[in-house]
Amino acid sequence: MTLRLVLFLLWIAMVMAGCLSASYYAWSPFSDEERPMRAGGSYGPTHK
Amino acid sequence: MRSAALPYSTCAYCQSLLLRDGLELQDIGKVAVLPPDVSPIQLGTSLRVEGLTLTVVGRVRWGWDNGSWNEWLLDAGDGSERWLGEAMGAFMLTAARADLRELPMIQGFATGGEIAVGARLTVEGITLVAIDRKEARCLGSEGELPFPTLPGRSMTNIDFRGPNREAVSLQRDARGASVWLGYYSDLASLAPANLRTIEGWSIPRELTR
Amino acid sequence: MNAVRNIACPNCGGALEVRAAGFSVNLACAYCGSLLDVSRPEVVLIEAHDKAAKGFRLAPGARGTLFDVEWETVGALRRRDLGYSWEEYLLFNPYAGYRWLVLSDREWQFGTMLLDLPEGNDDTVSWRGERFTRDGDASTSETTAVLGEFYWRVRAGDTVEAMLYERGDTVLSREGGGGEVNWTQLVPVEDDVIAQAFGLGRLKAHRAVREPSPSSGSSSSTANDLPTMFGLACAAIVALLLAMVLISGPVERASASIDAPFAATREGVRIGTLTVRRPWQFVTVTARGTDFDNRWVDLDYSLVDRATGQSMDGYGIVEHYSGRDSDGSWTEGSRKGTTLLGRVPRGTYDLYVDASAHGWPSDPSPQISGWSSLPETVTVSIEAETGSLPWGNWWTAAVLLFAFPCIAVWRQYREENGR
Repeated sequence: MTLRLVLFLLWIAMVMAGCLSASYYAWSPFSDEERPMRAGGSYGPTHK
Repeated sequence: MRSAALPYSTCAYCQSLLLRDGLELQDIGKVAVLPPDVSPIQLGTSLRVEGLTLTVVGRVRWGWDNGSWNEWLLDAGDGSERWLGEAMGAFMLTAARADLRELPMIQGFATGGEIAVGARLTVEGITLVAIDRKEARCLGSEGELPFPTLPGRSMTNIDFRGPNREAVSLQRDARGASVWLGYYSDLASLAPANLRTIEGWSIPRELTR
Repeated sequence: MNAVRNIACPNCGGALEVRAAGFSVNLACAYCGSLLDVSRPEVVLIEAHDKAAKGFRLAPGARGTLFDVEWETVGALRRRDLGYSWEEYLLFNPYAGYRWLVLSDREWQFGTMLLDLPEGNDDTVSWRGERFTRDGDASTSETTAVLGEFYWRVRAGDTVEAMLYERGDTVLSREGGGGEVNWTQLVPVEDDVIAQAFGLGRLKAHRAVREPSPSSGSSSSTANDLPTMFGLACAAIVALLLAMVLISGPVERASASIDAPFAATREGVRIGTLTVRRPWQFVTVTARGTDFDNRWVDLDYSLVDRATGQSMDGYGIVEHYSGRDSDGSWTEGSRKGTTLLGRVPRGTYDLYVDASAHGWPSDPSPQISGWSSLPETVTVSIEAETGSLPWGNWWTAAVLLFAFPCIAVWRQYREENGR
């Protein structure tokens, strides 16, 4: 087994541990708790 | 000129192929210059096998699409025809076995039939497998020979291999088919003497006697 | 008699030596990597290349004495199967023929082609009175790099079926390809012995000095672990999804619809009750509108804990616009909006929604709303569920997992092509 494969296994363990604990604590950086302010504060299509 | 029985001889200086006819020598053409190789065998090399001393008296070099090999003619002093095939650094020592031409597969081959790679042939209770089939043409020759080796001579060669070094080789050319039975060997097992000296290499101890 | 045949590469003009003249048929140029046919007096170009194979531990021409016989390295191959890559060196001595040196994972093996063939079945074979058992499954190996000369028509891309049989330290390798089967006996040789024979530095020390970076792809003994890495990444991302499904549950749903008025906000419409049954869960709220156009609806969600009265807030929007311009007709926005609420603690919650509709470019005036005096509204159906999956987290993990092998591939590519 190569060194980088060992490093990759550690990396997998880290990513999975992080993701699973985020799942357990129901934490996500993508939650929508705040009203996003659009650029210019205006609504409507951005189509030009 | 060791053997008076062999009709053809290649002149080492002028590449002429000479046909011996009684006391007459007839120049029947030029053979190709042998391409250089690093074979450890040379004319005059002797092998000691099964109580016989075999001396190399001639060589034919055959070429095919994917390479070439040497066949060294051996004189055992008993009138038998033996060859030492040399390819890929390994050797095949064979003797003519005219009686095997009676085998149906070989009869078929002799009359122009095909034998595919993978075909099985049983000789004296041993099953051999065809491992390759080559269309070969003569690239050159030296020494004394039983047949003329002028450029353009070609033949079909099929090699069979048995489980324990056994070898059968079938050859077919314009003159007909011949069957050769023998075995694969490394050089040391043939107890060689008078090997060729190759610049930059020393002859391993196990090959000197 | 000179043992070496001098030729010039027909592609690059480089001066080359054929060391096993008469035996060698293919030669890969040491300067440009082009594959040459050296079986005939005239050298013929088979395949032109512009880069010679590099990174071989033994260079063609290197000589060393092993087992009391002097050997000259005449050819070098790099081969790989699904998991590993290794190197094979063709050794030649005009009096002793050909042998092999195999360098795999920093271990050397000395190979001799067998003339007496092992007999047996796929699992065990016997050879010279000893039984050998199969090690691993049959695998297909591919030649990836070629340098020097060979007695067969070698070329990069050749594949061969291989099977290994073991007894103690000795391995018998069975290789089949092109209708012929070859058996090779492989015995281990210490790196010290090879290093001393060929005048090389020791392999491990050599690695430490020359290779500070652990993931260097061109090291003489780096196994090809990239397929393994991608396989692991795939397995990990699937396993992660399953584990997230298990952790996120259980799922509970509530739904209702709300009519959003223009120029006003309808407040405090109760959608339903949800119970969070784990210490922490995600709650998603999905809003769907139908058939409205050039409108948007702002949605404010409040998840109010029945026990404490504390509220968790989220925000959503559904919007859809269309029009025509010089490029033709266009549409924009989505009539569906999903809002993710994280960190919702265990408890029972009521979901309330405030909704206000807006028109674009301006709110519809009451006059256009037809004969009815009822003010126009946009109907939005709201569905809330607990135990939903945070897909953003999963995608982030996927990117992080695959980034590692992708970077390794890129580094290897750069290393192989940049030198």
